[in-house]
Order: sequence, then structure tokens, then C-alpha cells
Amino acid sequence: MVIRKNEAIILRSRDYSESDRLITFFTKSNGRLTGIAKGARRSKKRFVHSLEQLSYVTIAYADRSTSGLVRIDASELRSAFTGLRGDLARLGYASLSCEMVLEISPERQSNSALFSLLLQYLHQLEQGADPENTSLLFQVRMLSLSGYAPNFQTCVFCGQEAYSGKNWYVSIAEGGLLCTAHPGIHGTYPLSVGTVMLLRRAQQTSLTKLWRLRFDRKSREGCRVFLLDLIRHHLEKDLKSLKLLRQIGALNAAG
Amino acid sequence: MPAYPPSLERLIKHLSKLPGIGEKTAARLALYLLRAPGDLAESLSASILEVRRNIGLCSKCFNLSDEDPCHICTDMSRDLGVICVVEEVGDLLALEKAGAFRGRYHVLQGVLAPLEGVGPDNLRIKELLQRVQRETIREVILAINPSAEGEATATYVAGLVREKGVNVSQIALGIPMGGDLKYTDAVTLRRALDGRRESQ
Repeated sequence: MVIRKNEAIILRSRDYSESDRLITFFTKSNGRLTGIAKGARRSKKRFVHSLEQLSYVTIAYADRSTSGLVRIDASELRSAFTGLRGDLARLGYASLSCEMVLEISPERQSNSALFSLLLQYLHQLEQGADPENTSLLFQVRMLSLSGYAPNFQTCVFCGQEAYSGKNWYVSIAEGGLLCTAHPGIHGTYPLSVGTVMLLRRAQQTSLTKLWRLRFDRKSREGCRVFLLDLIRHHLEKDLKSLKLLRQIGALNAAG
Repeated sequence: MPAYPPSLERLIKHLSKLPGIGEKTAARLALYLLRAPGDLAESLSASILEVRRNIGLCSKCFNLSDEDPCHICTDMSRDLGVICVVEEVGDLLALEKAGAFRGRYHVLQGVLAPLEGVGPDNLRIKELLQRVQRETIREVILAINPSAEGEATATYVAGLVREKGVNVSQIALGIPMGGDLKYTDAVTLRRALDGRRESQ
């Protein structure tokens, strides 16, 4: 049995049996893991309220194999992102990002870039960044870091550079951009060349500069629908967090 | 070949489905019920059936009750102008046991939980707002657990109740009785300091 200590973000926390908790957490160096925290519902000293969803912690766990549950021994809170608790829309967007990482990242596969992205995204949300804009940037970058990035460079059929032309389409089935020379393809989403450039920058720019990018009101709607459809296509299921965002009016029903 | 007669095996199987009961404990309980003195088994089964038939939710506060409205809602000696909002029936029972609150309750039946797909429409928030509008309420006390979801729910409900022109307060958060500052987490300590009050 190997004892590990790791930085982690708690993605999901559920009650398990009489006094335990089943925790799914995303670590910086070991990817997504699920473990049992024995007595976490009763012990106020060992875990001191650090195993709640969205908490950024230093977690110690015993791992005895290459699969299955780990045993969580201790957890120390680094940030609880308490600023998100006073705003339901922000909490909803934060939960949406956790659910995306939970579903899209394979178990025990290290992805430190995705960890840094999620951590910075939660900080941005807590510090008052526009939740919808920040969420779109997170989604574009998360898809890139998880290997699901659409091709925003050239037309997937004729190879035309996305610098030229005014209007473009993006197709989930074809995995990228289509220029106007290929009409009649089903299931495409129209994008202006400016939006294509922005999506491209969101895929490539450094993490510190990512949050400076801004989607204008017009491009937001189209990008939101396209990105959520793309994520739904890869996961083959709907995300539960969207239900709350729709109910409180933070997300258009079309999303 | 099963070790117990089929009917006893069935009882053990059913008992082991209860929370916190494993197969061994279920077998011990079943054997005890079999040999129990008097009419324990009969009265236990009658009580279970009675509870299943008669217990429902109070249509006003959503507490568990065998009458509608429940005994708390119909108790005229309680303060009718104050509603204490709780997450679950268990929280209501804890407050009643403490005997510190003499108003009436409203059980939300959960908290907003994005990852579980629980939104405002899945809770009894609409019914709370109707009560606040219909009855003469001067204060709504939010006694919702201070988890991330609980706090977000409290903030959301507080905003909606305030829009109706009613005072909203929230129970204090801090060091528990007999607690130890050394073992208290940073968030609780900060909240305890923020919520300090003048010494009596």
C-alpha cells in the first residue's frame, strides 16, 4: 500500500453508510480518484470540513492498487472558495465545471494542466469574473487539454485557412470548421471569423492570459450552444448541473 | 441448501436492507424477534404498517405528520409570526429537542445541489413564499446546514423572502460548545469572528 500526499480539488462528496463519505477528487499529479473517508461525517478533527465539493485541499490517501477506491487518511483545507456560496449562479457554473472534469477525465490519468485550469477558473469565479464568459473559456480549454479540441485552424474539407472569409460553420460530426464552399452539411453551427479567432486563442494562449479574452454578446449564444452540444456528444449524456442553471435563469433554455 | 427455513431467510433478507444493518445483525434481530417475549413481533409489524399508512407530509410546513396540518402548525401557543426554514425533517426534530424555538417551521426537503440536478423547482421554496405572502409573518429564520450547497440555498431563499418585505435572519455559525480553537478550521474561525457580538 502506497501512502500519497497530493494537491486536489473535491469534485463530488456523497454520504456513504452511517458515518463515511465517498469522495471523488481531482489531483494535480494522479488525475481523478475516488476514495472513502472513514468517519468523515462524525470526525470533526481529522478532516475538519475539508471534504466538501469545490474545496481545494492537500489530501493524504492510501492507494493499494492501480484501480478501485483509495482510503482517505487526512485532508487539509487550502481554500473553500466560500465566495461562491453567496451566489447561486456562480456556484452553478463552478459545479458545472466540476461535473465536466468528473465526466471527461479518465480515472488515475494525470493531467496537471487541466488541474491548473480548474483551479484558476474557480479563483476567477470567486473573484467576481463574468461567470458565463469565464465558463466558455474554461470549456474551450478543457476540451483542448482532454484531447477533444475541434479544429479551428482550417476548413476540414478543403484546408482553407480560417483567416480568410467572413462566415464559417463548425461541425461536431466533422470535428472542426467548414467554409461556405461546403453547404448542405447537417448539424453545423454558424460562427463569425472573429469568433473563430477568439476560440483559437482560447485554445492556445497561456493560462494567465486566457481570462482576459472576451466573448461579445452575439458570439456567446452560438458558442455556448455549440460547446455544450459538443460536450454532450463526447459524454453521450446530459450534465445535471445545467438543470439548476436553467431553472434560475442563468443559462438560456436553448443551451 | 440455505441454513435457515425460507420464511426466516426472507425476514433476514428484508432486515439487512435497512441502513446500518448487515447480514449478521439482521440474522441476530430475526432470531430475537422469533423468540421475543409477548407480542413484540405483532406490535412491531402493526406499528410499521400504521406508520406506512398514516404518516405523510404536512401540507403547510412539509414536516412528517399523521395529521394535516401537523401538530406544530395547529399549535396556537406558538409564535405564529416566525418561520424557521430547515433542510430536512431531522433538522426540525433537532431544533424541537433543543426547545429553543417556539415558532413554526418550513421543511425545504433538501438543498439546491447542481451535481444532483436539484434546482429551486425541486424544493419547497415556492410554498414558503406563498406562506410568507398569505400569513402574517414578521421574520423568517434560515437554519440551513452551512455546506456549500446549503449556504447557496440560504442566500437564494433569503433574496426571495426579502423581496416580499419580510425580515430574514440566519442562525449563527461558530465554535461548538466544548469545542477547541486549535482543532477548528479556518473558515469556521473566520465566521465565528465575523459573527461576534457584544459580551453580556
